[in-house]
This record gives sequence, C-alpha cells and structure tokens, in this order.
Amino acid sequence: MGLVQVVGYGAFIVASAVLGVRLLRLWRQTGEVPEGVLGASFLAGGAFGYAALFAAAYQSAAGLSPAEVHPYTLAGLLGACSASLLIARGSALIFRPGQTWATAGVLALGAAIAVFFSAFATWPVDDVVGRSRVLWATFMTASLSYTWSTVECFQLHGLLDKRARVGLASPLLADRARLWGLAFGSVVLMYWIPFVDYLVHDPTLAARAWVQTASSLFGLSCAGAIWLGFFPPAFYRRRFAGAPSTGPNA
Amino acid sequence: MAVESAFDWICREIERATKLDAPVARGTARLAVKEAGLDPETVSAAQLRVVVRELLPAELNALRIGDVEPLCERLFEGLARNTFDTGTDRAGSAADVLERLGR
Repeated sequence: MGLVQVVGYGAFIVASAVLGVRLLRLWRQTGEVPEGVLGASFLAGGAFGYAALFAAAYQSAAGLSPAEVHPYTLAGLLGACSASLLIARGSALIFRPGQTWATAGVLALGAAIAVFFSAFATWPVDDVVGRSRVLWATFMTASLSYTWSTVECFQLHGLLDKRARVGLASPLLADRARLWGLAFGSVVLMYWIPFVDYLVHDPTLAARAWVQTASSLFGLSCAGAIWLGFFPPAFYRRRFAGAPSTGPNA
Repeated sequence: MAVESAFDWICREIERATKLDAPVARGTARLAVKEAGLDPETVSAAQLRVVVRELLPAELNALRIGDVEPLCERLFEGLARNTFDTGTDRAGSAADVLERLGR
C-alpha cells in the first residue's frame, strides 16, 4: 500500500472519527436525534468500518489467506452497513421530515442491506468469486444512502445560495451544505471507483494500485470537506465575514 | 374564515393593482420567490418582505407595469401588518440542523 493511499484513507478515517465524536458530544448536549444519528454513522462507517477494511486490504496484500482476512472484512462491512442505514435515517430526518416515502425508503434499504450482509457473513470463505459478488452487492446497496444525501445536500446548497444572495440565509451555511455534499459525494466515489474496476477487472485479484490511489484521494477530499465544513479555520471563515448568521426561516 | 397564505395575498394584491391576469400575477410572484430559493407553498411573510424589496420590482418592471415602487411598498407594509397562514419551510428546517451541527 502506497503513501498516497495511507494518507488518503488515513485522513478519511481520522476526520470521520473526530467529526463523529464531536457530533455525539453535541447530541449529549442537545438531545436532538440528527446529531446522534450522524455522529454514530461517521464513527461506525468512516472510522471503524474503513479502519477494518483498511486492515483487511493490508493483510490480504501481505499474503494472509481469505479465511484469515474474513473477520476484518466482515467487521468493516458491518460498520459500512450500519453507517449507511444511519446516514439514510439522518437524511430522512433532516431533509424529508414527515414524508412517508423517505421512511419507507430507509426501511427498504435496511431490509436489502440485512439480506446482503447475512448472505456475505454465511457465504463459504473459499468461494472467492461468489463472495466478492455478494460483498460488492452489499457495498453498492450501502452506497445508495450516501448518493441520496449527496443529492439532498446539493439541492439544499442551491436553495441556501439563492437565499444568501438576498440576505435570507448565511453564506457560511450555504457553503456548509455544499461541503457536506462534497463529503458524501466523495464517499460515493470511494465506493464506485473500485466497483467499476471490479466489473472490468479479474474479480479474484485485489484492486489495482491506481484504483486504490484514486479512491483514497476521494477519502482525502472527504476529509478536507469535513474539515472546512465543520472545523473551518479562520482564513476560511473570513470569506464569509460580515454576512448574516441566519435568515428569517420562519 | 381560513387565513390565506402570504403568497396568495401578494398574488391577489398584484392582480388587483396592476390589472394583470391572475395566472400572470401569480407567475410573476412565483418567479421572484423561486429566485430567492423559496417555495411559494411555504414562504413566510418575513421572507416575502425580502423578496418584495429585493426581487419583485425587477420582475414587475420586466412586464412594463407602471408605479411598481408604490405597489411594492404597499405589499411590504401589508405583509408586516396582516396575519398569514405559514407552511413548514423544509429547507429552512434543514438549514437550522446544519447550523446546529457546525456549532
């Protein structure tokens, strides 16, 4: 595993862990569900899930057998699946409160993920091709919630950007919606790039180096978006200085 | 009697003051509201006051209507004076959560 991959995936894992802890601390103060759900999702998927998958890839590259790597992959997949469901629940709560189709979508996603995860957990370890198919089916199903969140964030950014131009919203908030969309979009690409490679490449082999590099660079972009969106440094905040903090939303 | 929405009220006032057809008056107000990133179904009186100040004059001027400024002034004051029905601003609620998450 190269330096770029270590830096890219490492930054993603660290940023997810820091944001997850921060949101859970906020949840303890406010008692509001969205921060609890999102905090748990960043810890489960970005921190725990990716760290376990990272360990699995490292051990696989080091020559360990599929049976030895399996517990790490399973743990990583569990983290990714849990995070996906939490993200979907968070999106329903934040962007589509009270809308039946959103709740139904979360339940359907949960059912599909449960089926695929159970299949992977019980699949014979020596059937490398079959297992990889089920693994990718689970990952790509899990990626749907991130795709949904990406679309919602960019839609919200579009509305808040227009509002900010007439003083009805904070430009910093409009920018945060964009950065949040970029963070979720980066996660979607972290799933899609290796998946496309898997479709066109020998499924029994590990992902090619350039694929891992490209995917890890999106991990880095996700970490950057999280940093600017939730921990904006002074120079970045100055871009929005003098703008109203909130607009009349009611 | 049910309270009308702020959006319905300004549409009616524009129609009455300008002799525009109801669909044209409504479409003009709708364009201005959309330009501000708001939803005509849920826009509040406070938000509409900003739209009336910042965006509606240009939309009405594009239709070559006379006395746009006094009309917009009357709308602005009427929005502050009257009580209106207000829906839930989904984007506003989401923005509130986003602001809280970034604290």
